[in-house]
Amino acid sequence: MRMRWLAAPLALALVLGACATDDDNGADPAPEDTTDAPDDADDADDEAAADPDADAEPVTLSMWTFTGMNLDDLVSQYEEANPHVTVQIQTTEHGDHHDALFTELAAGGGPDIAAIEVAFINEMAQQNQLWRNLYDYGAADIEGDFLDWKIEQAQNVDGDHLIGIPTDIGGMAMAYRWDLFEEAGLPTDRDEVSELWVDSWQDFIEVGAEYTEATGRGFVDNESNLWNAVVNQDPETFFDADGNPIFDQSDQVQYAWDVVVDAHEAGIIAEVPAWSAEWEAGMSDGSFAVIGAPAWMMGYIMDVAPDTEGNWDLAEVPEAGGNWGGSHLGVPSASDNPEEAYALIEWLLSPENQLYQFTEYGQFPSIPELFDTEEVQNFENAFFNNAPVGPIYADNAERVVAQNTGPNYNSIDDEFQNGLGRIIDGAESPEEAWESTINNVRGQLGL
Amino acid sequence: MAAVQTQNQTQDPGLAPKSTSSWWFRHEERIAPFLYISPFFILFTIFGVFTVAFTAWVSLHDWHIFDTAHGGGTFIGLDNYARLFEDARFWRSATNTFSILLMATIPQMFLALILAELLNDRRLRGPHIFRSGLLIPNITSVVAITIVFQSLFGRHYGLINVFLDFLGFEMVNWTASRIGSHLAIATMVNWQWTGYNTLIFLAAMQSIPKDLVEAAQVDGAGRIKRWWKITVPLLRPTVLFATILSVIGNFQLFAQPLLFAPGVGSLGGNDQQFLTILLYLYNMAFRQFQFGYASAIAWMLVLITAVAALIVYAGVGILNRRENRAALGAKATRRRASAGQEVGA
Repeated sequence: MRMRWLAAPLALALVLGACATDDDNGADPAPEDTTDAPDDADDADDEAAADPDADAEPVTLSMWTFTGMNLDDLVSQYEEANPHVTVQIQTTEHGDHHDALFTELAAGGGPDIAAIEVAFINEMAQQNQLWRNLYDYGAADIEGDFLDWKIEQAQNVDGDHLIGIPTDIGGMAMAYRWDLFEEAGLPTDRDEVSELWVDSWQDFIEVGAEYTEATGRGFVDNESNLWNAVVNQDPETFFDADGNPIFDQSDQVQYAWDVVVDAHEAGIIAEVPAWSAEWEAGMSDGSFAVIGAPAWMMGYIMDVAPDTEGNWDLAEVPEAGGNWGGSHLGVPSASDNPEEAYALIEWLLSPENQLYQFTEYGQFPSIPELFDTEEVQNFENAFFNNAPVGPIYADNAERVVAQNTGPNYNSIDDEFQNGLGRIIDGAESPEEAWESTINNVRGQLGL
Repeated sequence: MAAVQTQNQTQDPGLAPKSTSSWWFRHEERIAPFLYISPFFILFTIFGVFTVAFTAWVSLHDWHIFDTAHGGGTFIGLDNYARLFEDARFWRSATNTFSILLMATIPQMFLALILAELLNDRRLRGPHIFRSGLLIPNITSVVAITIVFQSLFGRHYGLINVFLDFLGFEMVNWTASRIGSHLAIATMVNWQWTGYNTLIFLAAMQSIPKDLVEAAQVDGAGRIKRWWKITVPLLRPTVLFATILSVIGNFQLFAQPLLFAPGVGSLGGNDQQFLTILLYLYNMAFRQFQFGYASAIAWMLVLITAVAALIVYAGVGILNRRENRAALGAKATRRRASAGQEVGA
């Protein structure tokens, strides 16, 4: 569900040793600077003179993002256009970012702007005392631009407190290696490939079985990425619309579980753990041929497997829909400059800038009016054999439904992925694993 | 310093007005030392005692991470501890921790004793190169070590599996198997700490009087026998110290299991096969945000560590006493024997 950077090895370098110092460096300078700035009269006068917005006082905004969001170029542009604003961006790995942010929020602090990934957004929306209500700063004027479900995810239960503005969404496609498909005697053209499996995951497994039989290699990378692709295709997974836990009786959870088990029994899972070094190597060396790919995954593949340029292509995801990843930007309650922070967020996530992030970094916009624009519709990616990336993701994005991500979404998802892992490892039979998973979730939630 | 001041006072009373010679002057000598050492205790109270005590307080509450900002959680008494006793996952993590502890401490001590003996050899050329070489693993970042070992123990392309395959054995799925993962993690610990212990043992060995070893040599004891019968017993207090440190260190095992398997690390693998106590604590506090329960785990960890250290301490104590008795016994026999000889003569 979330981008599973959390366990990416380097991530923890910070948690272990540098975490404390990192927090100090990141969190403290900003409030100090902002309180110092008005005292520094000379500086303030100079800045004001240069500033078109003459009475604007100089402010320093601290902003915490996680790796892969790539907001730095836009932020520099903003600083140039608004000389009274200085932004200190601190970017850490996904897992560290959220750990540090929650610890800081728990202690009553926080930066001026913070990114919240989709796996945590619901939990944060319920803890809305920690976040400024963006409706107080004008969010009501722009909320109509965004996908409804992205706005709803960042609202409290009553819908009158909005904690974040949506950045990108993680609409799904399947990235496949056409060169390996050719080797296995499968069709290579993206439309034909889509045709092979678009109707059902069972078709996908059959294609995989054919591939594995022909090549002797795995077809899809691992159980957890397959699980992510399937389970998120329906809003009712672990929680129903009212936030009640239904993980043990949800049809979608059961369905996704069965798809993964079937895929395992057909022998098409390469068993290369997601985010491991072997997984990254596998993108080049062909130990698997298909990855469930949200838009942001394109950037990841291009990064770790540059030598496979042109060998990849994109096809539709079976049974359509699904969302994996995507974030919001919010303003923690502790911020001393909520107006300035909100102004920056509103600008960063404007339609033009979301379009820029898409063409530059592959982050698919959360603003539906962009989906039909020429820029999106004509956007192709050479790395993916000139696949019409824009239309593929746009088409899927219109079918995305918001998941009900209740509290502890992340840990429940972990338990299910671990349960599937136990089947793959041969530690438990599918029935045993299902039972132990349900028990584990209950145990962890104290149900 | 106080003496100097008293002297000054007697020599030139005019410089020290009566007011200053009152309370402070009478008590300075007693109070000053406490002031000198106070910085440590003040810092220790704030960052040591307070945090530990606060953790105990939190452990008595149902305390979500965000409760901290508004005054704390709901008091639930010892419920968290009761939950701990029924939590199969916690006990699994405790068993894992003990298993890794055994695999890491015992071979490490033996290896360190052997290496120290080899390094203590006067015929060894360039001993400093070897000695500083031993410290290199110890000063390498845990994260770097883990990443390298994680790739060595990789399932498909890991060097160890490739080697096993070459020798005709079956490849091992190190992360999936309980024993396999413990072995891999213990290997990382051993790699990092064996050199450190070797140096400690080496320093202790150099203080062993040479005549003892030489006397044994004259008596015809071989090198191994000298090492096992003379060096090792004399090193016992040092081995005890190193073992207790290693036990405490191993109870805090965290980075290695967390980074060992990407994705599933924070729960110690799909089946919690390498979940350690500290990793479970981290998972509770920062993944599930249950600070109260995590604090209870922390206190349990303190208790377990203290008990384990005591067991090691007591074990060595028993060994010492038995040895002393044996030595006394031997002396008595010898005395009797020589007495007998005298009588016989």
